[in-house]
Amino acid sequence: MKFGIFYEISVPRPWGPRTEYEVYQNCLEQVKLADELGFDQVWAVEHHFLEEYSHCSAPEVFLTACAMVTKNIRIGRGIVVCVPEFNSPVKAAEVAATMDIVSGGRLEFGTGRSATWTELGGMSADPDETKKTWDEWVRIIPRMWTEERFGYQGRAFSMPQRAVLPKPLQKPHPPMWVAVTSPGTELDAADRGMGSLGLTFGGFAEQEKKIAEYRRRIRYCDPVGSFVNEQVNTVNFLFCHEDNEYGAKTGQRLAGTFNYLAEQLLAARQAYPTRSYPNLGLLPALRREATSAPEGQIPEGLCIGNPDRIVEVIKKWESVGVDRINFLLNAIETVPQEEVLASLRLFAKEVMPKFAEKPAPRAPAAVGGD
Amino acid sequence: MPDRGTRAIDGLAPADFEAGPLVLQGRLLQLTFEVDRDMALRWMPADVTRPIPCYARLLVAEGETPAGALRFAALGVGGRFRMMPRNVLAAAVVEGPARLPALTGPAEPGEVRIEQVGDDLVVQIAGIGGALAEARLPAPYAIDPAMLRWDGWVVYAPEGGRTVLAESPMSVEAAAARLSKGAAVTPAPGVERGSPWRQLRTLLPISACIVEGTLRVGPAAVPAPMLPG
Repeated sequence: MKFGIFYEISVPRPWGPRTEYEVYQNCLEQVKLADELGFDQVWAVEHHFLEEYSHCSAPEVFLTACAMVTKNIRIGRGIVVCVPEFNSPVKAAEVAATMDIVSGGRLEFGTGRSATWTELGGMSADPDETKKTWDEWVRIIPRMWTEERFGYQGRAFSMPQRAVLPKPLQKPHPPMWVAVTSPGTELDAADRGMGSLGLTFGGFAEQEKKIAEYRRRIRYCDPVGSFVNEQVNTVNFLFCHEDNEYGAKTGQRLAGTFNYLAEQLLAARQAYPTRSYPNLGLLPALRREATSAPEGQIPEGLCIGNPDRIVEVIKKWESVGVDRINFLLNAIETVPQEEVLASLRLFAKEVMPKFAEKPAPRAPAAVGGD
Repeated sequence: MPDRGTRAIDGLAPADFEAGPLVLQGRLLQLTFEVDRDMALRWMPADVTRPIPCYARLLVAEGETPAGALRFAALGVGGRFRMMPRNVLAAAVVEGPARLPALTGPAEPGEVRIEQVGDDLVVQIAGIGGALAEARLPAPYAIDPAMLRWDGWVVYAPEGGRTVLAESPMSVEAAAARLSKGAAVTPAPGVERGSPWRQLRTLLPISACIVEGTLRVGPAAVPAPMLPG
């Protein structure tokens, strides 16, 4: 089991001249500490226009800053929105390769297609097209990284033969992931030999079934990259405190605030009927999980409370097949920075050692090369 | 935290409030479109938070109810009430002998006409004082009705001499459905500046659907208070 941290970078109102600066500085301080404590990865989202919920529209910049203040932690670009109104596949490949180089071969490359009308409408993207463009991009980006010169005639993207530069430091290329919010996307990941970057908080039974099917399907995959990245990454909230009651209460406040912010967004499926978005994605899952426990109890899968309780929860996640857990540490600064840092330290001291002996499967990417 | 609505609700509950349900068999149209943030907040009570972006819904229906033939158009602003997506009733026009239960509130008598114009469907809405708005749904095409979803409505109900918010759930049994892209609601030229038909006009179309089937709205009910924390 590997542990990471995950950033939406939510910024509370009122937005003063330095509010965003202070939130970003807090995040960087957390990342630096997480690296020192032995956390394995830091992920940051790409979101646009999501007021308060996420002010992380340029994660490649934030993650490069993370790489510059850390030594070992892997850098998760989670995720590149593979929609032409948001990005270009050439630019995405170039930026990712540069991040891999400057981080010393620490990049994890997440892909996705956005799930909110807030973003899709804001970028004038057609929700009916996003899955098709995502599928095209995840097949051509690894070729841009590995082929000396790349040319392509496709459905939504074409280019004459050019050298896409630079090439990533990791050879053949960084591990590739798919953001999984909608049921069934984990199978899209499996069929393409990509890691499942779970972004929902579904309960153990639901996750176990999905992970088993992912493992079964990926055995027969046709990988889009040069290797199969069979890994299951999930996201969770973290607040670890010696006092279980205080830890749980603070953690639930964190989860509740996050869910409240998420609910203000307009999911694509909520406003725009299309087969491309067959369900509401992240939002209802979040709400369900936050309200799933009876009054006075902690929702079963959340990593909040004292170290003993969190160890128990993580053992369950491990037993259902999760390889990595990424933690959301805050939402609109609901938890004071000092308490976030203390929570990370306590987790690293009391929880991480319990999972240190079992080697987790790693991507077969080798750092360096010629 | 998210912005809250600014509409004062005192006195908005109709004296003849009728919880419903409203059951109508026939044809219904629902348009979803982005609207101006400041205007949306004006039509949203303080217990409702604004979504990002702000949007409105126009529900138009014509068909048979147990009380007789009915045509109506209800305009609501999208919001989050008790963390759930809801349409907050802002205005309605009702035509026919039947009353408008469940969506009861600011309804006025008038005319609602649905016409096929070339490949498009056009809705003309008029109140006592004349034309209010036109909705145009370009070239609808068939879709699977299972793709559609429906949010409940928030209406104003009397309780103990004051006005409170009530929820009217909405469901549709659809036999057939069509989808239109680029559908917009345009206010009639003579509509006054303070009218919701002008203030909640389309800034960006999102989607619109046309359904043949049975619409059920309500009964409207005042929800229990949420526990603090």
